[in-house]
Amino acid sequence: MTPATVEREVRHAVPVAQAPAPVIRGAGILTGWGEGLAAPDAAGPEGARGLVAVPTPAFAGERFRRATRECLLGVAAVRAAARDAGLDTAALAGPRTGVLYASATAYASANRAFLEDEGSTTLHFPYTAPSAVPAEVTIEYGIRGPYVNLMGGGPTALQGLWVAARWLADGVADRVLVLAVEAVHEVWDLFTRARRLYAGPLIESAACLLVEPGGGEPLAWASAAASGREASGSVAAVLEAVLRDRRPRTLAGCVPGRGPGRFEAAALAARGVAATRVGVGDLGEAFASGPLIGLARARASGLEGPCLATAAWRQDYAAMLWPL
Amino acid sequence: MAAEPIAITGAGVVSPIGHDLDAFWAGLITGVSGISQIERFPVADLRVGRAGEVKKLAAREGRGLGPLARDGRRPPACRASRFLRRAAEEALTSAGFAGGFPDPARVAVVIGTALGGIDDAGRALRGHGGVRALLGSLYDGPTWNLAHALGAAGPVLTVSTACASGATSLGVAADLLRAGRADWALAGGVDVLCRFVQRGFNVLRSLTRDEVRPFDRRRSGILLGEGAGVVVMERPAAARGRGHGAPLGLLLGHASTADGAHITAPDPEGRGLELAVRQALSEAGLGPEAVDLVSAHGTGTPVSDRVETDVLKRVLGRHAYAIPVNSIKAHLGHTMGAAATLEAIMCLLAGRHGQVPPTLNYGEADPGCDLDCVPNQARRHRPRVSLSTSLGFGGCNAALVLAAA
Repeated sequence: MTPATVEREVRHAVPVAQAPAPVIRGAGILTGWGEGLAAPDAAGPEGARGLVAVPTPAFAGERFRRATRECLLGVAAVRAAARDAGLDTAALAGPRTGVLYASATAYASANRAFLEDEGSTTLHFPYTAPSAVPAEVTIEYGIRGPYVNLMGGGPTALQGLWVAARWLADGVADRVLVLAVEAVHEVWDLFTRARRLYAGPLIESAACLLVEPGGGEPLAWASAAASGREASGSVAAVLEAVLRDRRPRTLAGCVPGRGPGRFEAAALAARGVAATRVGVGDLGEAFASGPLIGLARARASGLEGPCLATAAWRQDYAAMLWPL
Repeated sequence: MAAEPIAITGAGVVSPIGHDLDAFWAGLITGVSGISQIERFPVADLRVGRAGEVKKLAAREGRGLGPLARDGRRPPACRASRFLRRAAEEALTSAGFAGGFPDPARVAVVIGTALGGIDDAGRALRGHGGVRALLGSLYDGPTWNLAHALGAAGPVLTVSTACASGATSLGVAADLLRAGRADWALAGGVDVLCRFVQRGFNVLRSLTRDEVRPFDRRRSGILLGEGAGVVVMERPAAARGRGHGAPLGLLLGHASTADGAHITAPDPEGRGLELAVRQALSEAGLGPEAVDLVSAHGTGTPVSDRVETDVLKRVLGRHAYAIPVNSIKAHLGHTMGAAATLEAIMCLLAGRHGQVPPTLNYGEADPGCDLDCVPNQARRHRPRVSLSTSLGFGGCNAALVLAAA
C-alpha cells in the first residue's frame, strides 16, 4: 500500500475529541523484562520468545493472601508511579484520586481456574471479576474517587486517558491513575490459538500513569472501527483527524508493522511524519499497557513536542496526540 | 454548571419477565416474578438452583427480524450477544432507526457487563468453536458482536464495573456524545446466567433459599437473573433535527466512584455511593429536593440495603421519606451488568405511564430501612426526575439522574 493509496482511502470524516491535556507526573512500568522504562531496551533476543512473563511482585503481610497475581501487579505499578511522582502513597487516599483501569486479559487466568476447578471456594470467585484488580488498588491505597474500568486492548487505554483528562478538566479529581494490567501466562495456550489477534510475543505487563491537570495544548483523540478493506481507510482517517496540521516528534505507537500497523506506516509517510519511535509495539503485544508504556517512554526520552500514541485491537484503531 | 442533557430516544429489553418493553413494563406493574428453577444448565448439586432465567427467547430471535436483518450473519452462538442483539433491535426501532443509522462512523457502542462472554469460555476451553468461541469468551466479545452486526464504526467500548456496569456505560456514552465523538450511542448492559456465576454466588453463600425481599426485615440474600437493556442516546437537538418526537427521557447526570473498602462487600459507611449520588446530582444541576423517585440497587442483602438507605437519607435529607424508593430485583433477580440499565429504563417508563412498580415480597418493616419502598402494589405517581443507584463487587458505585420527557 503506497501513501497515495492511503490518501485516496480516507473516506470518513472521523470526529476528534479534544480535552485539556494532563501532565504525566509519574509512571510505574513492570514488564517481563523487569521494572522501569529502560527494561524493554534490554530485550534483545528475548523479544523473540512467545511470551515475556512478568514476575509476581512480593508484598509482605496477610492482606494480599487471597489476591491474584494480576492484582499484585496493579498494586505494584501504582506504587511505582507514586514513587516516580515523588508522592507518598498516603496522598492517593480519599475522593480526589480517580482510577481508570483498562485490560484485555487480566481476568482470564482467574476465570479459567474457577471454570476448571469445581472445588473452588469463596477465596476464588471474587477474583474472577475484572474489577478485582482496581478493587485491590483502591483498597490498598484508600482511593474513593471517580472510577471506570474498560475492557479491551490498546485503544481502551487511549480512551481511558481521555476520560481521565475529562475528570481533571471537570474538577472531579485532582489526579487520576490510568492503570493497565495484562497477565496471560496461565492462558497462553489459548492465546496461541488466536494469533490473528496480535503480532509478536505477548508482553505481560502492568503500567500506570499518574496524571494531573496540565494547562498546555489540548490532547486530541480519535478512533474508528473497521475491518478488511475498510481498515486502511479507517487508519488514515483517524490519523488525519488527530494530526491536522501538527507533526509529532515522538511516536509512542504500539501497533506493530502488520495489519493496521502497515497502514499506519503508510499513512504517516503520506503526511511526512518521521518521528522517533519509543513504543513497545515493535517488540510485541502489550495490549492495553502498550500505549501507556509508550507514553511513559516518550516522557522519559526528553524529546519535546507532541507525541503520537496509537493502538489497535480487534477491528479498532485509535490514535492520540499528546503534547509532551 | 449543569452538563448538557442527553436524550434517550429508544429502549429495548430482554428480561425474565418479558422479551420486549411492553411485556417488561406490564410485568413490573402487575408484580410478575421471573424467578424460577434454572433449566439451562445443571444445578442439582448447588445450594440454590433458582434465578431469573430468560425462557424461550430462541423462538423469536435469530430470524433476521428488525433493523439488524440486513446484517446477514448467522446469529451469534453467544447467549449474551443474542440478548444484546434482540434488545438493540427493539431500541433501534423505537428510536426511529429501523433502517439503520445514517452514518456508521458516527455511531458509538458502549456496553456494560459483569461477565462478558464467559458463557462461551467453557466451550473455548474444551477446544470447541475455535477462535470464534475464544474471541467471544473475552469480556468485550458481546460488545463487538453487536458493533459488527450494526456496522458501527465509531468508538466501541466495554465497561466492567461489576453490577454497576449498566449505569457506567450510559454515563460513558453520554460523555462521548457531549464531546462530539459520536452522534448516536447504543448503550446498555448485558449478562447471562451460567453455571460459572451461579456456582460462584453459591460458594459465597450470597444466594437466598427464600424469596428476594429488598428492604424487608427478613431479607437474606440475592437471587441472580439475566437479561439485557439497550438504549439509543443522542443530543436532544439532533433528535429534534431528524424529526423524532418526544424522547423517552433524558440523562441529566451520572457518576461512578470507588469504595476502596472491600473486595465484595460495600463500604459500611457508603462513602463511595454517597459521592456518586452527590456528583450525579451536581452534574444534573439539581438539588436533592428535585428527586421524585429513587430506583434503588436494593439487592435484598442485609448489609447493602441498609447502607443504601443510610446514604439516601444523608444525601436527600427529610425529602428521602417523601418519595418512593423501589427495587425491582425481586421481579427479575439480580441481572448484574444489565441491572442498572433495566432500572434506568424502568424510571423513564414510570415517568411516561405515571406509575411506579412495586418492591415485591415485602412484609415486615426494618427500622434500618425505613423509606417508602412501594410495597407489593404499583402506585400512581409520575416522577419527573429519578435517581438510580448501583453498587458492585470491588467497591464500584454508580448513580444516574434521569428525567422523563
